[in-house]
Amino acid sequence: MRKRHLMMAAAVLTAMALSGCGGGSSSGNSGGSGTEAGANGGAQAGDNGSGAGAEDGAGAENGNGAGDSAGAGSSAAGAAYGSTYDVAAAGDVVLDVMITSLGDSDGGPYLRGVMEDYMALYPNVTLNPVECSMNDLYTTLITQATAGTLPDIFTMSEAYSANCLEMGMAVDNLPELLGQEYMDSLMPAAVENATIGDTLVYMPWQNNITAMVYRKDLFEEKGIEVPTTWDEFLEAAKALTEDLDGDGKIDQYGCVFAGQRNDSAESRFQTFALTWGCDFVTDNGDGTYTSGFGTEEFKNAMESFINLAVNEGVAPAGFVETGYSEAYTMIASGQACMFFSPSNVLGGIYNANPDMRGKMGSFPMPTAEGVDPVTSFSSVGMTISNTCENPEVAADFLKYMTSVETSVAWNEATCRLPVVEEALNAICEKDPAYSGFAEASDSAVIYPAFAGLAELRDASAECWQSVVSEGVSLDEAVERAAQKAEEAAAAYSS
Amino acid sequence: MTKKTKNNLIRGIGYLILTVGCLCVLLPLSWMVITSLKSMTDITMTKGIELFPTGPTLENFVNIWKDYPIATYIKNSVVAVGGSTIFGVVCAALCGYGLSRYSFKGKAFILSFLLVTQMFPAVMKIIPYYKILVTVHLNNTRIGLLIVYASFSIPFCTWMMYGYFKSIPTGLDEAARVDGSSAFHTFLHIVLPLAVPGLVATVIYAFLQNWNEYMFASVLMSDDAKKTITYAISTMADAYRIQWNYLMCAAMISSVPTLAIFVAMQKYLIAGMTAGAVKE
Amino acid sequence: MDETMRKRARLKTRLTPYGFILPACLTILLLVVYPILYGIYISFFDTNLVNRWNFVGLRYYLQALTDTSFLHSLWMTVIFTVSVVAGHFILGFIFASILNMDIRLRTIFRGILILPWLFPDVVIAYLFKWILNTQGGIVNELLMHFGLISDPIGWLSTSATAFPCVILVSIWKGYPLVMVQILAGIQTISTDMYEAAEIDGATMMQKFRYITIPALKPILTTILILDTVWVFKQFTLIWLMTSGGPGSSTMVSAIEIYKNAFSYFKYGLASAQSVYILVICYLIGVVFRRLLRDD
Repeated sequence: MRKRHLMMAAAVLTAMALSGCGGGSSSGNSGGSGTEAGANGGAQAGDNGSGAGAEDGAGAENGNGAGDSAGAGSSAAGAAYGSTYDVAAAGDVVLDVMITSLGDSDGGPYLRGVMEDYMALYPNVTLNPVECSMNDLYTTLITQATAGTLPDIFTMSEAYSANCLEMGMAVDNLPELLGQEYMDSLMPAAVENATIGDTLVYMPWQNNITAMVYRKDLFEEKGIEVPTTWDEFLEAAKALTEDLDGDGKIDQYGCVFAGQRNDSAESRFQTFALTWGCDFVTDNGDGTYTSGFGTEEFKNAMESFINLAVNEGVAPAGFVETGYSEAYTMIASGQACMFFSPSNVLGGIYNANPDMRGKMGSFPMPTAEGVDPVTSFSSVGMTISNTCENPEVAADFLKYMTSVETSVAWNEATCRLPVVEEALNAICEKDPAYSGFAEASDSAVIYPAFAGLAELRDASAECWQSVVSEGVSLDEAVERAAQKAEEAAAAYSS
Repeated sequence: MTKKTKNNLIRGIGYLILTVGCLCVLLPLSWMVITSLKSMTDITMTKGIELFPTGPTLENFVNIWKDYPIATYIKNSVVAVGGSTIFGVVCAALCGYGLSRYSFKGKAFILSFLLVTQMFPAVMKIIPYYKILVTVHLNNTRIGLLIVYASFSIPFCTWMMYGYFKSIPTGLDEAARVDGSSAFHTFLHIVLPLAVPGLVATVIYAFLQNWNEYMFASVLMSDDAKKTITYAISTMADAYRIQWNYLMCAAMISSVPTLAIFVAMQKYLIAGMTAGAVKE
Repeated sequence: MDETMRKRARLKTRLTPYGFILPACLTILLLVVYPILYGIYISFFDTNLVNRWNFVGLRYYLQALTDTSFLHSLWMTVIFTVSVVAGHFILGFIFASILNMDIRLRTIFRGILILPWLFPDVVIAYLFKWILNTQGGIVNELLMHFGLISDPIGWLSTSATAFPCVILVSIWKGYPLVMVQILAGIQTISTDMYEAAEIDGATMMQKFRYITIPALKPILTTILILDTVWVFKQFTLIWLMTSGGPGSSTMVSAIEIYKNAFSYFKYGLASAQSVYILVICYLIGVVFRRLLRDD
């Protein structure tokens, strides 16, 4: 008896699944309901205004330091940021703006400050901050996209831009909305990076060019030359690895590497591999891709990476658990001296230990013998949802957000670098700590748009982790990774 | 060995086990408290063993209160989680009673069906839940989260209540029925009072289970003013920055409501049988 | 007249149970059924959930069966579940039995032992991640301070220790649930039965074996099934502590599925894998109920 009932439960579920197909597919083409939900979202945003008001005070307070300078820019009226749209005449506009803080804890309050300033400039515009943790960004975006409730302005990166385009999440006329003049002011590499086919998927904002940050003061003190090859890097690291208090234990290491199995560490390794002449993936131009994991260069890169991070004794223990935040904390506390990263790492270091301001410098990535200087460029930015009812105003706000004055203030708050060339130059001239990033710009390359990149990266992290913590031989681990990469390359080729 | 010494021995071993257990619980948690009293530089800059903060400070608690709208977050959590607990446990108690006291068509099916609904990995349910809430315009509302949380707890709670009701002999209901008590009256006034410890255990379970949850809260509630405290805690640590001291502070603040619930409830948990009402 | 009244009364009696179960079942039907059906539905599609819906039939089901990393994750999940559930029950039972004795400071002991349950998984995961950290983690610092080890141990970054650590933390976090349920369950046992047994000269073990266990059986069965299902799907603790690493030494199915869905955007495959989890959990439930049948 019981048995039959249990079986029945399963059978009914299955039956329901089959009958559910009809309902499911109708929700699949939810273009119509999407706009309806969008309108609803707008209405809700309206009555949320009072609720958000309670926090405005706190937001403004935090953003004060940054807000001041941005405010000074805005008081010079709209024209200062190249506005091409008459926002004041647009009537009452409410926009939801996603704030991911882009991983900078100070970026959120800062961005709120910019939004306040913009609203002060145009009283007819209401900008609602919609907070989203960077951890949950894609989960949230996918969910909102399926229900047609995306915020008017949301964060977008190259990792997800292909999906964004395919799902039609963003407006398709972004360059038009931003204007030719604005587009021309951006670094060409940034535009290329955010473009798929002929469509600019998102407006690039933060410049994630990778360079090595280092303890300039210690280099000068010891008379160490800035290394240009990994061999020289190792020498420098060895010279910096010291037992400072003489207790027989090393308490200052030459460098630190991130070895966690997450995108942050994996994308760093991808840059490292570039400097050994290895591309993770090559676009063959005919819709097919080739993985570089099977090459000798990849193996050399992996071997050198593991050596530097684990075997040479120039980096602290715990490589596999070290992530971005652990790494910059070690720099901040003086436990390590070199780490390669986008520029925001300086913000992390200064936050953890304000004394490090002035002691840090940067230099372009070292390369392997015989490889020309090279580094990776990528950019995270913002885009406008296709359900946005006032894309012109949204675009105008984005331009305001990335104007030269605002960018400089933003850099002070977060140590992020912009992709607006003029702003980038202004910052690099002002602060020598960014010189390595500026210098690296000349040799920066962007990765081909490949939808299976996350899988390739994951395979690379699995490879070094299995060597370091599971004792698998390098050859075997690389072979396994190469096989996975091969499969991924084939799976995403058409 | 006399019976008394034997009992004392057993009791002694009992104390020993409890003490060891308590130490295992308290040591990690004391580290949480210590961390919450440290400044971030204290945490990152110390080398070697430094058990106690150089200058213990309550600044973190003040700062966290200033930087985050903690009170709003806690209020949101209490509304959504508390509401879902009440709603969920009422449904579950009724359902558990019905299942334990009656045999009817489809009973076994309902029992296994309830369980099956909880077996699908939660991460794959986020999107459809969101779609449901958007359809009924309840996304971004505490009511929406309340209903979703209730649906998480009902199946498990029903099973628990079913288990407790089953362990209560049916003799009483029958006696009540003979006396002309209605079914609902019997449930509410005769059987439920006997199941209070189980009911309380279920309430605690439902409350904690949903208080714990942060992933659905993060996706279903995009509005900053509607976020829950657990979600807020989860944002204090991401790939970019882990603020250990804030994290631990917030954790302690967020555990106040759960602790309060437990303290308020625990005397019922161990209330015992009401004056030996059940005699076989 | 009399006839219809009796008929009505009988109908009412027959409908009574449905009245009791209606609110719960209605909520579940409205809210839980659609998400599961949606999940099952998309497992047959190569989809981005918005505008690409290519029917692929059972392809993802077959793919999951031959996918070594999925099979590996299933195996890890089984080991994880068995160890954690066993740990929960052993600790929960021991503590609950002692707490049920007539001892001093009972409230305090009980209050402390329940603490791990009161903190969110997020907090516990980060707390232990930090305690076990290679660089500056308190465990390593203490061990080094007392000269037990010379170099820090990567508790969560060595495959030999990461999985046991994750299991121990999961047990630490979860045993109070079982403890509280057993405590509550014991309360519903009539003390008369123990008294009677005592008069008959039963030993403590005998009382436990012949009174406590049988009386607790319904609730134990329930908790066993629920805990198993719950642990089987455990995500937060492991995800935040190790993200499935190092290598794939803590890669349980819930993480594998999450990665497939939200890192690689393979919703179809992830759904197919979820359906397998559903089926496996269902079978576990059936087996448990068969084994622990109370007749």
